[in-house]
Amino acid sequence: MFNLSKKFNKISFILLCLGIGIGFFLIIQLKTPVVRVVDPISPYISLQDTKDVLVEEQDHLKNKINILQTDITKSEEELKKYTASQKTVEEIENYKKNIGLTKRTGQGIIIKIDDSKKAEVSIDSITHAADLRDIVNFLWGVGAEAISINDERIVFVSSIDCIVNTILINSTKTAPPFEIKVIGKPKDLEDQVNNSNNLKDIKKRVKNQGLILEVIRKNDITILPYDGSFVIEYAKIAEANE
Amino acid sequence: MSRFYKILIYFGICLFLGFLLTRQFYLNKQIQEISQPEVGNSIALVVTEYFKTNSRLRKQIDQLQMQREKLLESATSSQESNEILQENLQNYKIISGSTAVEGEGIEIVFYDKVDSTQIIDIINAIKNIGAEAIAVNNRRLGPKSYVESGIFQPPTSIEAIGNPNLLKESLVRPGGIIDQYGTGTVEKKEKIYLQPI
Repeated sequence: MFNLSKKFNKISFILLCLGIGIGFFLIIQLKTPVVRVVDPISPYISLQDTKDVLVEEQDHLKNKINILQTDITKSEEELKKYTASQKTVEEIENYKKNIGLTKRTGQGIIIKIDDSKKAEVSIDSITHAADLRDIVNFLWGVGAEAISINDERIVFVSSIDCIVNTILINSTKTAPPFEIKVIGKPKDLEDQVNNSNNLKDIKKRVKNQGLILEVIRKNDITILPYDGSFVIEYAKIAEANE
Repeated sequence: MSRFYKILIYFGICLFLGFLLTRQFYLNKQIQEISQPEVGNSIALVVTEYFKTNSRLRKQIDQLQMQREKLLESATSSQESNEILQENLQNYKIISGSTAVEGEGIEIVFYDKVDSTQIIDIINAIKNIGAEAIAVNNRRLGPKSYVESGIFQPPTSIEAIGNPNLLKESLVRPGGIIDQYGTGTVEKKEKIYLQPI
C-alpha cells in the first residue's frame, strides 16, 4: 500500500514538472510578438534599384577617371618639351607604373580559384574574401610585380571585402570563379603556389572539399590599370623630407 | 492504467515539448533576422559600400579635373606646369611609400599574440576605411608589401594616417574587427610620422 502511494507521488511529481514546463513554453509562445511584414517586396526592390543605379554610376565615374588620367598623361607628355619639366614627368611615369596606374603586360601566371562543384555548400567549400587576401599577400611575398583579380587591379589602397555572400574588390562587386592574373617570373611563381608548404589552408580545402585551385603559366598577360580613387587628404610629406 | 498507455502519454508530452522548443528556436531566429537585416540580407550593406566608393571616386574626379585644367592653363609657362607636376609627384610618392609622411591618424596595438592572417585582415579593413599610409611595427607598407606568415609576438603596432575619427569608430564599433578579435587597442593620434620603405 505504502509503495503504491509512493509510486503515484513520483508519477505526480514528474507530471507536475512536465505541466510546469509545458505551461512555461505555452506562455513564451503566447508572449512572442507576432511578426508583421509590412511590405517585404518594396524595400527589396528599392534597394536593388539603388544598387543598380550606383553600379552604373560607378562604371561611369571610373570611365571618367580613365579619360581624365589619359588627358593628364597627354598634357604631361607635352610638358616634356620643357627641359625643367622633363625629369619630373619621367619620374611621374615611373611612379605611375609602380603604384598601378598604367597597363602592364608580360609573363606570369594565372590562378583560377572557384567554389567546389563536388561538396555540399559549406564554409570550407566556397571561396572567401580572406582566401583572396591571403593569396594576394603571398604573391607579393614571392615576387609578383602586378596583380589583378577579375580585372580589378590590386594596388596599395585596394581592399578585398565580403558582405555576407558578396565579394567586393576595390568596392566593386565580383563573383567566383576568380581569375588572378600575376606578372612576374612564371616558373618561380608557379613553383611557389604549388609548393605544399604554402597556402596550406586553401590546399587542405582543395583536398577535402574539392575547392578549385588551378595555376597556369602564360607568356602574354595583360593587367589593366587601376581605375579607382587615390584620394590623399591627411598624409603630407614629412617636413624634413621636403 | 497499463504500462503501455503510460509510456504513450509520456511520449506524447515529450513530442509536444519538442515541438514547442523547435518552434521557439525558429521564432527567435526569425525575429533576429528582422532586427539584424545583415544576417538575412546583404544588399543594404552592398549599397552602402557603393555609396561610399562612389563618393571617393567623385572626389578623385574633382582633383583630376583641377589638375587637368591647371596643366592646360599653364601650358605656356614652364614654371607653373612644373609646380603642378611637383604636386602630383608628391601624391605618388606618398602612395608608393618612397618618402616619409606625417599626419593625423590612429595607432592600433595588440598586447597579445596575433596571427599574420589577423594582421592581413586588419590592414585590409583600414584600407577600406581610407587609410592613406600604413606601417606595421614601424615598417612602412608600399604597393607590393606583404605580411610575413606566422605569429606576431606582442606588442604589435599598426599605425595608419587617415581620418582618425572614422578609422577608430569603424574599428572599435560593436561587431567591428577589434570587437571580433576581442583584443587590441585603438588610439587616435594628432601626428603620426612614418618612415619611407
